[in-house]
Amino acid sequence: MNAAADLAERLARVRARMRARGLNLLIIYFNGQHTMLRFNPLLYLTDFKTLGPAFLFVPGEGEPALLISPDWDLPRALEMVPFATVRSVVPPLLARAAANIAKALPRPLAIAGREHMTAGFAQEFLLLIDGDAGDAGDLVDGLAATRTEIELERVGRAAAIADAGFAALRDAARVGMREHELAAEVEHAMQCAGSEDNYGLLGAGSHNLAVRAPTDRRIEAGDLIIGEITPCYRGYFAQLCRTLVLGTPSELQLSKYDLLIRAQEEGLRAALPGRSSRDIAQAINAVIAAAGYAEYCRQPYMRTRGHGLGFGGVVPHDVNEGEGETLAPAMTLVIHPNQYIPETGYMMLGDTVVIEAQGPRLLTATPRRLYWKPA
Amino acid sequence: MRTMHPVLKRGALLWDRDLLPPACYAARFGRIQSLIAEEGDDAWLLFGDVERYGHVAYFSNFLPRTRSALALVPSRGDPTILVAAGPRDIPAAKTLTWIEDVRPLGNAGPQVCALIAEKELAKARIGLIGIEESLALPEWNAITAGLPQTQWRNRTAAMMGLRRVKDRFEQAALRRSALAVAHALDAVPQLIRPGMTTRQLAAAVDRQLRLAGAEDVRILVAGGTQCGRSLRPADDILLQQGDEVMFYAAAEMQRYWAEAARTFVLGCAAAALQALAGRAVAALAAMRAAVAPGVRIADLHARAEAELADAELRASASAYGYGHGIGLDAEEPPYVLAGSEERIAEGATLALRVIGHSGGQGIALGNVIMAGAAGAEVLIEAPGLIECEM
Repeated sequence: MNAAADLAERLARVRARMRARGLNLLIIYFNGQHTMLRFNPLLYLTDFKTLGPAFLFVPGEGEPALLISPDWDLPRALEMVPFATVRSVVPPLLARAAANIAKALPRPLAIAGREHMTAGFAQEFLLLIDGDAGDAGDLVDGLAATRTEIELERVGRAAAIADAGFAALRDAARVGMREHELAAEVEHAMQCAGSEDNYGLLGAGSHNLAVRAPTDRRIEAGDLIIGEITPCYRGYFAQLCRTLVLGTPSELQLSKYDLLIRAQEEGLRAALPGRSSRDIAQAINAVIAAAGYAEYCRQPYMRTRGHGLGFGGVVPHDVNEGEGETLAPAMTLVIHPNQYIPETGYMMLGDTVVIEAQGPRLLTATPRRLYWKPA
Repeated sequence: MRTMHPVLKRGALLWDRDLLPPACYAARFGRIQSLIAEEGDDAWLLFGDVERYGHVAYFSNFLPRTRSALALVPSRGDPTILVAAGPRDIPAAKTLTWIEDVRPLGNAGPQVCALIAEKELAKARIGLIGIEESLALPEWNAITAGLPQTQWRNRTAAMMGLRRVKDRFEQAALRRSALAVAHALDAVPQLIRPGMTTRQLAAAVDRQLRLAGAEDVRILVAGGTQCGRSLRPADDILLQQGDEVMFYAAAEMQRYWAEAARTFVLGCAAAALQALAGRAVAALAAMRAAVAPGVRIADLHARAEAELADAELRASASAYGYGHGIGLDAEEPPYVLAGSEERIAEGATLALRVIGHSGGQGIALGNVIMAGAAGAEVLIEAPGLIECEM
């Protein structure tokens, strides 16, 4: 399947949901603030990443129409979006222009993305469209729970970029370098490999409490460098978490990292179609608890054992013991038993996987071990 | 200028206390409390998100790396700041601010209601800063529903009045950001070469800025035939000998933004491009010459347009905008617009630019200028067309 056919299939899925609800028009709003942990239905249904706030109009029949801002970005949109109707407007006129387009389209209609509207913008726009619009936030929720072939290729490409990012980290890390300088080298390698964004955290210390943003601290011999590397390729994310010791790791560090590896292996074994994502968290926590760290299997010593990833924070969302969602083939998620351990500090291990019939397949290829290089 | 919003500010995150000492924030906090009293309010509720964090950062120095922050400033007493982070991130958040009371923000509606009730302000008159402009509707609805007796007033304009004039610490921070952007763009002639993609070129400039300590970097670029159409995020278009490259870069360092735009040619520029650049240089120079305290901002717009006889260039330059204030937000008032009645304040800092297209070619020139009592100080020069030896 090519990219255009894949996009058409995604639109068909939305239209089926619209028909089931008796809708003749779906209006999708996105505010231009991209996040890794929130599904962006406008990007999902256009393959176009907007610079600013934008609307997508999906009628029950016929082609969708896209309205973007700022207006000077129109040429890029025309090059990339396959729809015949692509318009642009200056941001202050977006609400009025969108309402005018909506008036000419069939009803009943519903709006997705209301939660992205600011108070001022929503008050203006909702008045202009006569206020009879239902909420369709739940209509687009879960749309991207599983990946198509084309989407999987993109997540796979992002995973390869993440591997390149960690290779750059290993290569560049040295005593005396500032944390943000190391982060810059990782970023540069990934951008050159095609990354368009990155949810990247990187810290170093002899005893880390959690992963954090890089500072100007100079890296010292014996530091553990922990990195959460999350590049984005054509809107699709993959994540890799690893730990590098600058110097020779102690037996204690090696044995505690083995604990994380064993925990991840158990988590991977539980990541089967039909099972709950909760099972992954339980499997990971069981290994860590058996080693005497049960009390550290909660905040603030860890946050979650993984989360949906690929296209925003999609199903199965956060992987925790409390609630779970049923895993299905072609779901992509990161499984990371990142953990604070009192003897070693916080260490990181995480990989992006795709759920398949026989079990999860790792998309990130960096071998799972504690890394080290001479100080 | 509008750029692609990243999912996270992933550069260096720290508080440089030599550049921005706690005393400067104490002074700003004092000015805000005086203004609250002048407006007859009991407190102000300030909102900032990762895109527009200036209201909160102005007095707290706090920067949300992702999502948002809310601050409650009473007319007397200490402020509280709610930051969109988990409990384990609060110690790191506290390293960025002098404020003692830093709390994790999860669900803004109930948390703001609880905070205002805790401070015995539920029946008070509260000024809103950045709320209508940036806070999401469901969160605002939850706040107003939970506090039916509170009187709300929009005070964003009053706050912007304070922020428009940069104090000496802000000016120092802006100079530093500008210097980093200038250095990164100065390096482009050594980096650019045929066969590279705009993505590789942008990555190289991004690296320079992050090595210099940038918290966030934004780049828009156009290469070859793209120059006739629009700036955009970097992509895989290959640059060739003779191509032109329009390049816009902005960087945020210690919360303060600077931006610049330049146009490069891989080799020698054709006469038509030189002519286009000449018009843009004249327009930018005309704006720059007019920058002084008290000047109507609309005059800058008029001077720029007067130099752009080419209608296609003028229309596209107008779409990109001729500029705006710059500081804690990448775009701040005043905006260089026709008909604007605003005047340039002493100490204001402006990002001025001429970016446009004509006849299948493009030009991008932009700089940052500070309006001082003694005249305009150019923080980043905007040389004309830059021909790079290949």
